[in-house]
Amino acid sequence: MNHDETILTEVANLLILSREGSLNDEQFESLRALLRDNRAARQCYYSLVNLEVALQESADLSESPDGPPDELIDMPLWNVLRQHEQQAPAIAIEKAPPPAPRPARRPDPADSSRQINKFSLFVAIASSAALVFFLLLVNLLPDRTGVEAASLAESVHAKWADSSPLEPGSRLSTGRNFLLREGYAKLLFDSRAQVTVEAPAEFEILTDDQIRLNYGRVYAIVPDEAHGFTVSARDLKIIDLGTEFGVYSDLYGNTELHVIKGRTSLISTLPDHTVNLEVHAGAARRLFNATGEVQDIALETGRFVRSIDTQNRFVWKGQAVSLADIVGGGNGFEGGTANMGIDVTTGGTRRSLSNIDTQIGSAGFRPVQSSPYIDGVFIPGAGEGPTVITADGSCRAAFPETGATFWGTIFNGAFHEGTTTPRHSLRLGGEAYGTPENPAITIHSSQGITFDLAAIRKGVPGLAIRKFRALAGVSETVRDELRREEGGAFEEFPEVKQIVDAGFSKSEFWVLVDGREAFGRVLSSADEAAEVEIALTEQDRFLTLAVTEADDSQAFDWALFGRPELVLEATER
Amino acid sequence: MNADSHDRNESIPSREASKRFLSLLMPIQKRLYAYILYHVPNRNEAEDILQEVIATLLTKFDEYEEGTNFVGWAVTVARYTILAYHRDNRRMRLLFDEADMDRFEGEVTAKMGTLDEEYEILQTCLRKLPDKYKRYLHFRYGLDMTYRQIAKTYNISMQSVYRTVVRIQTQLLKCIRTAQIEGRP
Repeated sequence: MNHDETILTEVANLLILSREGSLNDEQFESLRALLRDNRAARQCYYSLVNLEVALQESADLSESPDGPPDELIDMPLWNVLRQHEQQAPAIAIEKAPPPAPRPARRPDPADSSRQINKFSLFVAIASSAALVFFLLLVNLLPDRTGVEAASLAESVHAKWADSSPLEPGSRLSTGRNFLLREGYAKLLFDSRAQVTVEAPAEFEILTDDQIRLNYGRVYAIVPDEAHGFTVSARDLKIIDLGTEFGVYSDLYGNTELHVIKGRTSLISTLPDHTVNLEVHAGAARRLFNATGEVQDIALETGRFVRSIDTQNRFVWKGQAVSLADIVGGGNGFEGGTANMGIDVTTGGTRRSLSNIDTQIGSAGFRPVQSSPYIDGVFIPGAGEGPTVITADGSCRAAFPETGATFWGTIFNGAFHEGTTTPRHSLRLGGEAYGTPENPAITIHSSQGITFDLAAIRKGVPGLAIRKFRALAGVSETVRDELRREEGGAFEEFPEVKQIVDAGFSKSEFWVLVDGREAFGRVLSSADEAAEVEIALTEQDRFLTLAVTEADDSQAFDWALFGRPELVLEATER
Repeated sequence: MNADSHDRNESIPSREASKRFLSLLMPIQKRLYAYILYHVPNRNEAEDILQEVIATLLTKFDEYEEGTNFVGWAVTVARYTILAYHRDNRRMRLLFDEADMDRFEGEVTAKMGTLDEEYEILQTCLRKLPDKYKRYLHFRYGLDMTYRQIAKTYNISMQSVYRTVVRIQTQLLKCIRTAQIEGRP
């Protein structure tokens, strides 16, 4: 590279960063100094700016090298409409009131989200007369012809390349390309198939049961009555056979198919590379446009946006609701604080858990005010008779008597620390819990918590809660601690000595749905953790998790529910 | 000529004057925008300034003397508007201070003057680009995508996008320069 090219490259790089709002102070000063002191650099810079302006005005670039011309910039039409405007009746224009003083501008150099619209130079010609002239032209532009075949059902942060923004409820016609520049959009086809589009993406609605994806990412949910719904990409068709699936197509024409449910038929019509195969749930394929090769790839269940909700700006990529996150004060997806817990004696939140001795509480349900998703907490088996496990008193459960003793709080995390026990992470199956990969709710006996499923459903519009799942167990670290305690102070307490001698501790785990026992098992620290999976319906209101001591002392009941989550599924709208 | 927007006279030109104004503005709008971009590195700010300049030119059009140098007048308004913006907001970045704007006025004027010719030559140079590069430019300039969106669509890093953009720019500038030297597109 010669000297001139070196300077050009340096200036070009700095200019790109400055246009993107990514130029830091040091780089900016470097560019200023270069331009101030180096004439060749200035000439390069002016040339690059001229090129930038010329490219923005180049009509050829409104046309994709692959697709039809953009009919929005149609000069003959523009001229016809201009003539029409000249013949239109005069419009009275009121004098505009004086403008308010302009506030001091505080531009955000990092904000490069605004785009220069091709029409902005025209709109900037801002007099009332010129603006009305322009608006007349825009309003007189004919609607694109085509057959209405779908509706825009939802959108979140959506920005379209079209000059007329699309709002939920808009009808979408065949025969035109739609370009979603930012955000998400859910389309409801007249065949009842749903397609969620993630920007940037360009697509065309072919019929009420076919969409062509030029590039970008879509997720299709196809009910029974819409079987046969087809997503076309370049030289490729994906036909639904009763499914949910995601399709990603890049600008080179390479396409990926990820089948989450049911099965699809994948047909490629590349010359000399015809492919026709079924792809089932749990599988994914990539088609290479250049070679026609179809490759098995790993299924990525979290890659596609499957559902969105306009009102709540909710975007769902298939993830489950984490009950650990909710215990930590989050919304089930984010925001939960690690190691934050709920005090069963008050229903209040606590962050400090270390060096807390065993406590004796009292009967009574404590509502939790800090989270709309938690109905409340309680001490199972305290007091006489069944334990109330919901705030409205509608649900009760018959736990064994526990003497109302408990330790610590119910918290988002998994560790234990006692007066003689060093702080350490709890473990199940050799894995540490209370981590981002393995979230957990620790419930040392005897404590219980009830989640409000109705409130959680409100937080995930368009989705149904299909099941609860978790791994339940007593931490295997109890074993090491008991070995340490052999011959120690705890041996003075007979019930504790019994545990030390046995080498394991036991706890009883409970999962109840609206007060009905759905899971109940005694597990010890020597047992493998138990997988819990409980189907849930739209009618289920309360989910309760509880741990009680199990015929031995309440000591060493380091019990946890690992990865406790509610599995969701998109519903038809 | 006072381009201070706070004092701007909000007189609305007649329809005839508006049309006359448009006929003068349209041929020079590229040069006017380039002048602003030479000095203001942030595209959003440059766009805002351009709108402010055009609004000022329109509302003060009755002060313009027919037959005099319209582009010179427009550039003067642009210069004052840029400096006023910078005065009102010190966080706004300017590539040249006022003294350097004076020093380099000749270079800037000369370079603005070649823009229309470069634009014409560019149309031919664009046709010579490989499809892959044309696609980049289509997304960037035809569809107004940011480089970040292009990176996401191509599923590549920002650095790869930047490298490709610089290659495209270098190729186009060479093509334009060759045409200017040889006197043909």
